[in-house]
Amino acid sequence: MPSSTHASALTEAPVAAPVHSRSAWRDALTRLRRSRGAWVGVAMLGLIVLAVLGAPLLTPKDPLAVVVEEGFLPPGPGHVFGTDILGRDMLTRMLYGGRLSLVTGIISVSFALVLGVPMGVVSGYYGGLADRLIMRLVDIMLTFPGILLALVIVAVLGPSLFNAMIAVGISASPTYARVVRATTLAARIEAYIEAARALGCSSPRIIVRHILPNTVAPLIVLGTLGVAGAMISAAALSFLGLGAQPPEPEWGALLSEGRSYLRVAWWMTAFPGFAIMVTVLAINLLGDGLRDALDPRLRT
Amino acid sequence: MLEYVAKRLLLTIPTVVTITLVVFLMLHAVPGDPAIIFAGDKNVTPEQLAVVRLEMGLDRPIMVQYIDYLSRILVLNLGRSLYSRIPVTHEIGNRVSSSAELAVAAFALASVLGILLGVVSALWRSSWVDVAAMSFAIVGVSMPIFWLASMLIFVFAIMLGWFPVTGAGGLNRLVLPALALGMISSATLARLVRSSVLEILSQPYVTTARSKGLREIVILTRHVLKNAFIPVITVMGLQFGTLLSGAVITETVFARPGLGKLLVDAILIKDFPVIQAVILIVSLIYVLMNLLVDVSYAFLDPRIRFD
Repeated sequence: MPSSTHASALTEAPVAAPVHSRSAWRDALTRLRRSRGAWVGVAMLGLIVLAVLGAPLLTPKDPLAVVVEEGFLPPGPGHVFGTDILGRDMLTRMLYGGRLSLVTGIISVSFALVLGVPMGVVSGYYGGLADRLIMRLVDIMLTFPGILLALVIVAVLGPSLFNAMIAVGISASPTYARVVRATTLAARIEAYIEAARALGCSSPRIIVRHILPNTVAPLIVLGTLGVAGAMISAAALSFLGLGAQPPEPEWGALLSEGRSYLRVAWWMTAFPGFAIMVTVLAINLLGDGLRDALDPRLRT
Repeated sequence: MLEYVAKRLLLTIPTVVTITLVVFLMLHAVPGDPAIIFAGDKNVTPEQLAVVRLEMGLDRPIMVQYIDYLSRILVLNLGRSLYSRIPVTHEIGNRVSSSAELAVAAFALASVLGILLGVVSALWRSSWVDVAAMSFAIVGVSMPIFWLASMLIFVFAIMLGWFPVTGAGGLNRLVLPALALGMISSATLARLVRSSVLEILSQPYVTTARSKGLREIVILTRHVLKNAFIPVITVMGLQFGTLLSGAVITETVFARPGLGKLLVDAILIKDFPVIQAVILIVSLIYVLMNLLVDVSYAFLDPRIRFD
C-alpha cells in the first residue's frame, strides 16, 4: 500500500524534535506574531481606539460647543489642533468624530458581509441557475467602477451618513460574494462534505457547519482590509457632501468643512485627513499581516 | 485572434444593456413619484404632476418607457438638465475633454511611477530601496485622495504660489490634480508590480536564462518584465476605473469643470437626467476600457486566445 510505505519513510526520516499537533489557526497566529507590520498596525489601531473611546477623559470640551470669539485659533496651547470658524476645538471634534468614522467603516463592512456571504455560499454550493443569476448580479455591480456604484445608491437614497454606509456596503458586497463562492466551490468537493452528506446531514447544516468555517480565514483578511477601504469611501462621500451632514464631526465631513477655509485655517483640513490616513494605514498594516498569516494565496 | 476579439465584443452587449437598465431603473428606485423629481421637488399641484407625467411619458408601462429610453440613447438624446434646461449631451460634451485630460495625465503618472517603484523594489528586494518604495506604497494606499489634493493645494498653490488653486485649462492647472490622482493609483500599482516581478523571478525559466549566461538586462526585459506585465495590464485597466471615480473627487477639490464635478453637483440638487447620463457615459467608458484590456491581454498571452 502506498500510504504505508509513505508512513514508514516518515518514521525513518531523522526527525529531531517531537512533532506537536498544531492547528492551522495556531500556525497563523505564529506567523502573525512574526509580522512587524501587523504589530505596528495593532499598536497604532489600539491607541486610536483608546483615544476615541476615552474622548471625554482626554478632553473636557464639548465637540459642538460654540465659542465664537475663539474662532480660527491656530494650533497651540489650549487647542492642540486649533479651532474652527465657530471656535469649536478641533482635537475634541476629531476624537468624537473618530467614533463615527470607525463605526462607519465597521458597519459598511457588516452590510457587505450580510449581503455578500449568503450570495457567495448559495452560488457556490447550489450552482446551476442560482449561481448564474447571482454571478450575473455581481457582474452588473462590478461594471460600475470604484465609488460610482456608491454614488448611484446615494443618489437614489438621498445624502446621509447612514445611506452612505449602505451604499459603501452594497458596492463592496460583490467582492465578498466572489471570494466566498470560490472558497465554497473548493470546499464542496472535499471528502468530508461527501461524508457529511452520506451521514444524512441537511444542506443548511453542511453549509453552516462545514462550508462556512472555510470562508472565515479569507473573510477576516478581506474584512479587515475592507474596513480601511470603507472608511476612505465613506469619508469621501461625506467630503462630497453626500454622507455625514454638519454638525456631525465625522472625519470626512470635518475635512469638507475645512476645505473652504484652507487659506486661513489649514489645520481644519490637515488634521482630520491625517487622522483618516493614520487609521487606514494601521488597519491596512494589520490586514496585510493577517493576509500573509492566514491566506498567502490572497497576496497581491 | 480576430475570432477572440469578435467573441469578446459580443459579450459586452449584455453588459451594455444591463448598464442602461440599471441607469433607467435608478429613477424609478427613488422613493416617491418620479414625476415629483421632474417637477423639481417643489410644491406642485396634482394637475401639474399629471402634465409632467404626460410630457415625460411616465404614464406608460415601464417596459415601453425603457424601450423609449434605449431608442433615445441610440440617437444620443439624453434629455435636458432639470435646472439649466441645457441638453445633457451638450453639458457632457463641454466637460469631457477636461476629464479626459486629467485621466490621461494621472494614468501616465501612475503607470510610470508605479511600474518603476515596483520593478526597482522587486530587483533590490529587502534593501532600503524596497523598504522605502513599499512604505510609500502602503501610505499611498491609505491616503484619502481628497486630503492629498487639499494638502497639495495648500502647499504648492497657497503657500508657494507655484500653481493656480482651481479651475481648468492649461498645463499649469493640470499638474496638481494629476499629481494627486496619479500618486494614489501608483501606490496600488507598485505593490502589484513588485509581487508580480518577484513571482516571475523565481520561475525556472529565469534560472535557465541565467545559467545560459544571458546578461541581466536581457533577462529582465525579455523574460521577466514581459511576463510580469500580464497581470499588471489587467490591474491597470481596473485602475482606470478607480481613476474615473477618483476624478469625481479630484475635480470637486480643484473645482475643475469635468464630468465628475458635473455628477456630484447633479446628485446634490437631484438633477436626475444629468446623473443618469453621466453614470451611463462613465460606465460605458469603463466597459470599453475593459474590452481594450482584455484584447491586449490576449495579444500578449496566446494562452488566452485558445481558451
